Amino acid sequence: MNWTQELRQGNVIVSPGEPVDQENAEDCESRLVSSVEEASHSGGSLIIDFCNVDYMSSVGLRSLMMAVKAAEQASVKILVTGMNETMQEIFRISGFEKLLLVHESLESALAAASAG
Amino acid sequence: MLVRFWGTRGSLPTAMHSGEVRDKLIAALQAANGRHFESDADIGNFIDQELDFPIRATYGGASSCVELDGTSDEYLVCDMGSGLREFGLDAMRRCHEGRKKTYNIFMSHLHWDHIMGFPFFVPAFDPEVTIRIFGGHDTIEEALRRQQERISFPVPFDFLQARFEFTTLVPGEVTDVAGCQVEVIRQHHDNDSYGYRFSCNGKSVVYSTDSEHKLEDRESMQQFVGFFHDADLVIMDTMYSLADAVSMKADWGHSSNVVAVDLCHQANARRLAMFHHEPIFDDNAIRQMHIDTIRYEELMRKDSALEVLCAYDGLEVPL
Repeated sequence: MNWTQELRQGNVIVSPGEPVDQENAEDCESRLVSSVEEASHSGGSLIIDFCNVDYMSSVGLRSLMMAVKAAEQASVKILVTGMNETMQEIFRISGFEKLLLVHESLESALAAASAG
Repeated sequence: MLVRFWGTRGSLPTAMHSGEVRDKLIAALQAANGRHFESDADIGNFIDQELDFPIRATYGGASSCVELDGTSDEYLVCDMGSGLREFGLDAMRRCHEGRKKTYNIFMSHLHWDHIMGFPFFVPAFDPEVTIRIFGGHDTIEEALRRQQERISFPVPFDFLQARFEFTTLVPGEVTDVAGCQVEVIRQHHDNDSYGYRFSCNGKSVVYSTDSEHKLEDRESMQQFVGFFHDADLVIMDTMYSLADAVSMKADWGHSSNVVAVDLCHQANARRLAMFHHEPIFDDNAIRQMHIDTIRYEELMRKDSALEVLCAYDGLEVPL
C-alpha cells in the first residue's frame, strides 16, 4: 500500500496513503508493527498521520489494535493525528478514540511525543 | 413471514430499576410541557410520535428467543432464552384458536442464557404437543435434562408430557423444516455456536448470535459473507464496541456493531437487526449504539443502503 515514513526528533511518523480495508489491512498491520519496533529502537513514539486516509473499516481498525498491542509490549506510545471528520466519527463509534491518543495536528502530536 | 422477537438481551436477563422508570416519566412529562390531551388516543399519539424510544419504551430484558411466523402451520423458533416463556404462553393461545401443536426450535448453543426459558415452556406439559429441537451440538437433550435435575429445578424433564425429537445438524447440509430450507454454519464461541439461514417463501433470514469474528481470518470472514449473502434480514450479535471486541473482550465469543455492518455490506444484506444486547446497557445506551450503528452504515455505504434495526422484546419485522 502507499505509505510514507520519516524519523523526526526520535519519533517515527508514518502516513498510510489510502483507506485501509480488506485488501491492504494485512500489509498495514505489518508496517505498523514494524514502525513500533523502529520507534522502540529510536527511543521515541509512533505517530500515525491519517491525513491521506478517508475512511477505515473494521479490518483496518483491527490492524491498529495489533499495533497498540505491540506498542504496549515495547513500551512505545502511539499518537494519531490528521483525521478527517469521517475518521473521527469512525473512531468514536468503534470506541478506538479511547484506545489511542488523538491529536488535532502533527505539531501537537510531536510536542506531546517529545514531552514523553 | 413475520419475525417476532421474544427475547433480545445477551448473557443475562435484565429488568429496569424503579429509578429508570421514574426517569422516563420525568422525560415524558417534560416533553409534554403542560399540554392538555383530549383523549387516551391523543396521549397514545403523543407517546408514539413525539417521544424517543428510550423514553416511551424499553428494549426489554428477556434473553434470546426469536420466532419466524408464517412459514407453515408449525412453529419455528430460535433459541430458548427466558423470552421462550412468553412465547409459549402466546403460542398456546394461538393453538387454542386452531394452530398446529408442533414446535421446531433451533439452538445456537447450550449456554445458560439460551436454554433457561425451557423449564418454563408450558407447551412442554401438553401430551398433544410435539417439540422438535435442532442444533449443531449433539448434547442438547443432555443440557436440557441437566438443568431440570433436582439440584437446579423442582420439575424433572421426564415429567414433561410432550413428544420430543432431537436432531443434530451438520454445517453445509440443508434441512427442510416448517416450510423453510435451513442452512447451518459453525461459529466462533466457547464450545462452538451455530448460525442458521432460513429460506422461506422467497425470503431469507439469518440468525447469527454468540459469534465472534476474527477479522484476521479472511477465509472465515468470507464464509460468513457467503452465508449472509442477499439476506432480507440478518439478526446478529452486536454486543460490544469493536474496540472492546478486539481488546479486553477478545475471545469472549461476541461481535460488534461495526463488524455486523461491514459483513452485511459485503453480503449485500437488506436489513440488520442488532441483537443480544449487553446486559449492563440501559435503554439510553442501547439507543445510542443504534444511532451510532446507523451512522457507521451511512459512512461506510458503497452500494445500496442497509437498514439497521435494533431488536427489542416485542419487535415484529414483516418480510
